[in-house]
Amino acid sequence: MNRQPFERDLRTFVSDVPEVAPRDLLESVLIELPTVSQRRRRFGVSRRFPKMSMPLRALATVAAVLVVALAAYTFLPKSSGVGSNPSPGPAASPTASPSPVASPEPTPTPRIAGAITVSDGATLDSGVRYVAPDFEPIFTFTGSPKLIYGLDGARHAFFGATTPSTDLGVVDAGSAFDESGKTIEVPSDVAAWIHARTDLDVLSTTPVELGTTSATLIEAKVHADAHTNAAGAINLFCPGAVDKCDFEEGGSIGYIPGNHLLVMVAPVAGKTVVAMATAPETSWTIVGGDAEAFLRSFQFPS
Amino acid sequence: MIRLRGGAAVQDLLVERARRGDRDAFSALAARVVDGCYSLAYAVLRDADLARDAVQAALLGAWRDLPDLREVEKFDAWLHRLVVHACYAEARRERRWTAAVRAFPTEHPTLPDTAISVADRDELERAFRRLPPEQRAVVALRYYLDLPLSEVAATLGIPPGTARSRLHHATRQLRAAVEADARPAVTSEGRLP
Repeated sequence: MNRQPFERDLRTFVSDVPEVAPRDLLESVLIELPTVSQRRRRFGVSRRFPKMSMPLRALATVAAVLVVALAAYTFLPKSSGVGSNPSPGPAASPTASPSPVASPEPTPTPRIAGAITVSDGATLDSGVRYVAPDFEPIFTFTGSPKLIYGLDGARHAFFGATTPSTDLGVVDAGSAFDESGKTIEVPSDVAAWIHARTDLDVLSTTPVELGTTSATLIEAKVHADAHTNAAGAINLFCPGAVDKCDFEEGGSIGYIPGNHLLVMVAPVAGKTVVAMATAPETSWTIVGGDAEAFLRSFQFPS
Repeated sequence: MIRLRGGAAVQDLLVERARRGDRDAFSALAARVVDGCYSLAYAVLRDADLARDAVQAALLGAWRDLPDLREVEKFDAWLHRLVVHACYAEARRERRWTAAVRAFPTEHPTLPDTAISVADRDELERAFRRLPPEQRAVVALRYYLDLPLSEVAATLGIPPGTARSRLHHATRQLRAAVEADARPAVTSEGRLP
């Protein structure tokens, strides 16, 4: 056996592993999670201690104490007494805050009447009507259970569901990626373009009415042999122009071969707004309905 | 394989929130990475039960130690290291409790058949299990995750030369095992071919 075939065989052998974890593995982790406390954040100097000799360690300790004392003397208010309030700094509490209550507060002045302007990083409340703070064209949507919102400029917003794992994104498409990963202009008929792709199996195409906007909802699966980027995903749309987008970097959420996806295409004010959702096939039966309801809740006020 | 979606934004967001103690975010993160962690652990340990235990330990360790993760974008490499170290612990634990020669697994994982022969596969399996876990980890990171040696070394926290040396010794032993198996005589270790 010469070198190349052996390396090939070794690669094949090492890759001969289950691709899906046992069903109860995640559950067992999540059950034990509340019994495990997070560490306090450690500082660099403490990480170095194990490699330091005792005299050096003592010296470092003395130096650290002096630095802290000097900082305290310099920065603490002189009137600060024993009973003064602690600083409301951003340091994380060592105890976990398990509920969505920890989400950033919504911005008090909404962009649109009847909708809460959602903050970056907020956990959405189910059934509440939200509006993205900067996204253009403006749209509102209804919160779905355990969705976390993230804003990425005026042309892209994304959402991450908690368990099971789901990715959702909305993009004012400035360009698209073809099957080879090449960046192209957004096709004039996005639905037909998606249908024609050989790396997607289109399962259904449904017209949907989002208030006064007519959109198209496409459900599909990513082929196992789709051309993917280094992260193992295909990308479809990017908020930037053709010369600003890269298949490797991705423009919005990516789709992993074998995964299910929903793409909702809405022409709004001369733009192509694309809302997307994807999840592994194994969890699609659980999250697919919520994802579709979420996309269908979009409204584009004129 | 632990893979990011197209843009890493959602995962980064979840890591950041989990690092601040949000259990919901960590749950979502764990749901995302559990399959990849399990595959990697299996690639190192070649045993479903041990891989399961290793992943459980790694994920709980990840939750405990997340506040120490300084760069959110390095979460994947950091998690790989936790999984590999959990594999070391499981391998050591198993070595204490089982005989040197273990029962051969009756089922192979869900893999489409490949060009590799059954005899070679079985011999590789036996030889791989005889490798120290540190060498198995290098082989798994190099050939399963397809990482360049520099990243293998960085992931494991070892010098690149050590990673290269471990890979060299591992492949030499694995190759020797397969080549010995191809010969009709009894092997040098006295095992039946």
